Amino acid sequence: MSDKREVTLLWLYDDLLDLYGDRGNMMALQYIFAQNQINCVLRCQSLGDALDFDSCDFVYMGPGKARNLQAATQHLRQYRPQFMQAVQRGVPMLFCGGAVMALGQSAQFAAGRPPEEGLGLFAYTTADSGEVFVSDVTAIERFTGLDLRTYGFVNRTAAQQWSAASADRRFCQLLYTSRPLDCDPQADSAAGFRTEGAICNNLLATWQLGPLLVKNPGLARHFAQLIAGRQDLIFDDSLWQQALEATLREFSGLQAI
Amino acid sequence: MRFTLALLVGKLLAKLGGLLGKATNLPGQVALKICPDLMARIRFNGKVLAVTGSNGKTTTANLVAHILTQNGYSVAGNAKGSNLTGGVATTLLCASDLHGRARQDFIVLEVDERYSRLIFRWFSPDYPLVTNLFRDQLTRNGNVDVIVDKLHQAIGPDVQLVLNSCDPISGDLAPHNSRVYYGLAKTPLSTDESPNLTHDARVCPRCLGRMQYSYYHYNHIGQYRCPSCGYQSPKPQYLATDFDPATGDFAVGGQRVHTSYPSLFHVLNITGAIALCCSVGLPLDRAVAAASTFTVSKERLETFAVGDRQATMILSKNQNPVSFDQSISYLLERDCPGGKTAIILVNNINHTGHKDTTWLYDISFERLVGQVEQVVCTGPRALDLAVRLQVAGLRPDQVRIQPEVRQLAPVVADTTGDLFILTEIYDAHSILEVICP
Repeated sequence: MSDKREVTLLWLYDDLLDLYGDRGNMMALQYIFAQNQINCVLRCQSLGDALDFDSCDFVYMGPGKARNLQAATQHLRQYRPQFMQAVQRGVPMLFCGGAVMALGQSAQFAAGRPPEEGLGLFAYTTADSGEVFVSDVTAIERFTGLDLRTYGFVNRTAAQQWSAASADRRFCQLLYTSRPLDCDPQADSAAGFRTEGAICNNLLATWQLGPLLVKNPGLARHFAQLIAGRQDLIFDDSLWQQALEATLREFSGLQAI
Repeated sequence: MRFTLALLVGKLLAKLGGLLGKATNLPGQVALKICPDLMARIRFNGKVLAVTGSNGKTTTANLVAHILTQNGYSVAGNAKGSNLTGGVATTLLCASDLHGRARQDFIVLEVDERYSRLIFRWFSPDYPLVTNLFRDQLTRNGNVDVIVDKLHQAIGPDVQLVLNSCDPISGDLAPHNSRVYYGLAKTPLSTDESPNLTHDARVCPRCLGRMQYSYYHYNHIGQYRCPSCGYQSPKPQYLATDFDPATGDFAVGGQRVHTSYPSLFHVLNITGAIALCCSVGLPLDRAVAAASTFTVSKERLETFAVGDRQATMILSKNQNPVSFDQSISYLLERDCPGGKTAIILVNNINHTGHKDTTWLYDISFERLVGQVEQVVCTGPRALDLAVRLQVAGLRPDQVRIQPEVRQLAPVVADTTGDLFILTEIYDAHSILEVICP
């Protein structure tokens, strides 16, 4: 068991990619660590900075405007070896919304422009279609090992195409969206479910944006445990659970997609 | 023939709708069905002034109309804020005669920034004023860059813009157009760091370099400079100076202005309205004198009594964190010896019904810590709001939760101090019915 007294959260491109309540994810973790007398340092790095994945305990990257996402992806690509090593080491990471685009094989940030090389962590490509897709999302997640029911929100203009040969783990099995999110050959369409997001070690990538960790205290707890390296964190999440369950109840009568 | 028929039908519907209190959108929508290019066919004797931007449109447009009317000009406009295509069409057809001629000295239009390109494809305003650009209703509007693109499509090459020098985003619109800037000098309320979480211009809108600010008024509004490319706050022709938050007095061009709503946000609205009116030829002293007699619409800010307690209702826009931040600022700036209770109603996303409350994490609720006795959370997303307040640092005993607005009265009765009701425009009625039946 770890006895970390201080943890460092690295928010990548906070100045470029802070579109929609992203800070809520850091707030959730800071809240939990404060309950446990663990000093939580928030470090922000962006264009022009030398990215340092060695001295951080968590990495966050959020959604942003197409031009900003493109600039961030180009910058992050310069640090691909260090980033991949950190993923392999199991550094907890959360990539939300459009940040997912940086992790694929390629990303087209605007219609008509040539696709750019991604970091290649996952076997999908993404392309901005300009068509807005907005939906509430409920799902059963596969990240914590607890198969928790989750609520999230998708607001995007990009489409994602998984490679048929992909063996990447998916983040969740969707229960409700207003329409299917992506073409995913791995999903068992015969069983009537579809997937969303991707997992690699302790990295979670999802199109669900905003303060995902506040909305889903089980995910927040899991990330906090990974970051602190211990299971015994104090976290009274009763109000958070109440809010989540109230929201999930509103979808209980709706047809699964 | 179609044009005349559209005018006739539209005017008739507006008259009927006026009796029913529903005259703002429908007449224009029907008239546009009959004559799709109706707005292009209307001829203006006077100038068309348009006000757009993320926040402050309605108030600024009403200010402009007030200043011009006070100075003896005939003015028509959409004072109620019906700022989409139907509402603007209704305003224009009501302003014109049966020959399609608008004879007023000025038409003052509030125009939704997202719809500006659809409206201004038919006619071009002589002077568009852009108040500011922020993240706003992302599910509906997209991000700020999307709005900038739409405004660029809406702004003709020959129009003169009236722009806010304190906003690095809207201040950089259509760089080849002629422009007049207005701004606000550093005030006692200005800060070295942004007092708000939402900051849409941490990087330069031109080169993505990290911006530096000398001071902030609120959010990303302030004095800025990009060290990478040199983009910086332009020098405003109309600069508000010497603002005194205690009295509501400030000066523009050496002329004293007074406001009964002494917030930095509103001082910028007033200065923008003065700049626009002076741009069309009104002398500064007359613009300033008229601006000082303006009061903010009771539909946005109203004070009343609830038993022996004073209550203030401050309305903001759905999914608009900057608007909500302004409501919090208003609460914080009031002096209430008996303390303060905030009643906050949060609904689902109003135009889609989505349950998402992401935008609450862009509002600086942290500023309420130590400043209020209690916060009452109500509406369909009351629990989500309570979580947000817990994360912000409010104590559990300070936060009361009652999702059912109809059952709010006993919860409010159990609180102390003056009441501040913070909610969205569309929910004001439901909460008022309960608080002061």
